[in-house]
Amino acid sequence: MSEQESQFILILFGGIFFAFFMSLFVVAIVVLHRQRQVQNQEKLKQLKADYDKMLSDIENEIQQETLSHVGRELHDNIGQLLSLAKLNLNSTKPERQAEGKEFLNQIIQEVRSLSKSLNLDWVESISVDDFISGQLNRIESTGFCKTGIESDQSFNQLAKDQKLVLIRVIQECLNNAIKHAKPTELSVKIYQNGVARKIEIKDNGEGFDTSLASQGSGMYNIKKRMETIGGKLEIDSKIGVGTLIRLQLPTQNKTSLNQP
Amino acid sequence: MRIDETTLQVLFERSDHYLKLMLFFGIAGWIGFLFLKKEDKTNPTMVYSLGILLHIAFYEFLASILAAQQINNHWVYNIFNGHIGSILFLLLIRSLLKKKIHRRIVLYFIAALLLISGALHFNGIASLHDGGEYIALVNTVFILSSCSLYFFELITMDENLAINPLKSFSFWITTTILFYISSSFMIYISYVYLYTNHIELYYMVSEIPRHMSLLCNFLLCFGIYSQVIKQRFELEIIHV
Repeated sequence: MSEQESQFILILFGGIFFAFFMSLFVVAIVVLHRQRQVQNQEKLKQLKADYDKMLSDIENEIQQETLSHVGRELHDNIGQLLSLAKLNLNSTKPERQAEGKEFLNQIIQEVRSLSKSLNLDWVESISVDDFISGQLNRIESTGFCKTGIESDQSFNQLAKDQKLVLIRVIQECLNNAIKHAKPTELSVKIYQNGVARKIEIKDNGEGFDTSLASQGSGMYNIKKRMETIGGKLEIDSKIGVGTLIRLQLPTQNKTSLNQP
Repeated sequence: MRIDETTLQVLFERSDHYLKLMLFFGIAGWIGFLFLKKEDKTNPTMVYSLGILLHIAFYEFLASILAAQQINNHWVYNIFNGHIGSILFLLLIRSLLKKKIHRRIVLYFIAALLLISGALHFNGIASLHDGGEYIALVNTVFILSSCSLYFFELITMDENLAINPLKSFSFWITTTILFYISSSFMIYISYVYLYTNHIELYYMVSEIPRHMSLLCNFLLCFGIYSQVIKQRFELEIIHV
């Protein structure tokens, strides 16, 4: 074999080896990319399943809350009205009977509004502002504390899933305030600050140590739920002074899992 | 340098499919670019693709004219291929990168390439009339490093997980640049030895980077036309 031939063979094999090595590198990159793609798809599926489960949990919780409310209303309000109507209608006096009929009309109105709350369609039709106002009115009417709301209606544009989560979060925050803080005043402020929309729930109750609160699962769940719709939750509380809960959502939500 | 009829006659007699195809890709790419939408004409990937096609067509034509006149054309390859061409390839790869830090690194590579080249020429280590081994080493290192940045992004960034690399222009062009530059480098470093001792072997081996270069230019041209096809026929062949 001449020197030129051996040189040629050396370069040829070197070139083949080099090309093979480079091709292997590129193929490895593609395979690695595919593997990551599959892993990511599985992760997304899992996240979607978790999100759906969370929504279903929230729906159940809202249904439970609604049923308790309906139960209370039936017992405390409609039951009383029915008794009064019965008493009045049993009377022979025409003015008492007219009063009884009035009570019946009132009962019909109450039952209508209660039946509307039994399925979750109301979530779609109600605005966040109206929901909060309703909750605050209920709290005030039961004599727990004074309430107030201030809003620039910046939460009026929300997707159904986001609204469902937000409503449940607000409900839990208000329930927590009444159950644990025992405030004399409870106020809600809704406003937009740049690219963020905020809801501030403030009470002048007992307050708590925020470092201890993070260990509890209640606040952790609320925080997690806000994160799933692309929001944030901040708590500022001082013992003896009160608590401020700030719920924050971006104006254009991109991170919601139902809108990939 | 004077181009007379004899020079052009010698040039056309000597020019093989390589030069003709390079000129063809340059003209075809330019025509394709004219059909692009206004916003695509400002897309850096499209601009650098066309820049590379026209640039290579220009310097290969210039080098062939010089060769036809039997004038040393090393300086053409050293300036236009070793420097300007490498910078255009680096800018093309930079336009395919997504992370700011990586894009900045490529700019540093370009600055380093110019600085090192300046230092080599200033100290007399390299010359515009030599085989261009040192400059080839420097630009190969930087271009291959930039290609690595692209592959790194491809497998690490979440937003790249949504794309299919086999249908992506950026993947194929980066892979072709990787093969083209590394095969050219092999020739550049053995250029003097092969040309002096085994000229036949040199011509055989130099066919590899020439064909890789043709493939690279074909892909750049195809990248421009795939955008035209996508706009005109609403058919997406590859993602550009």
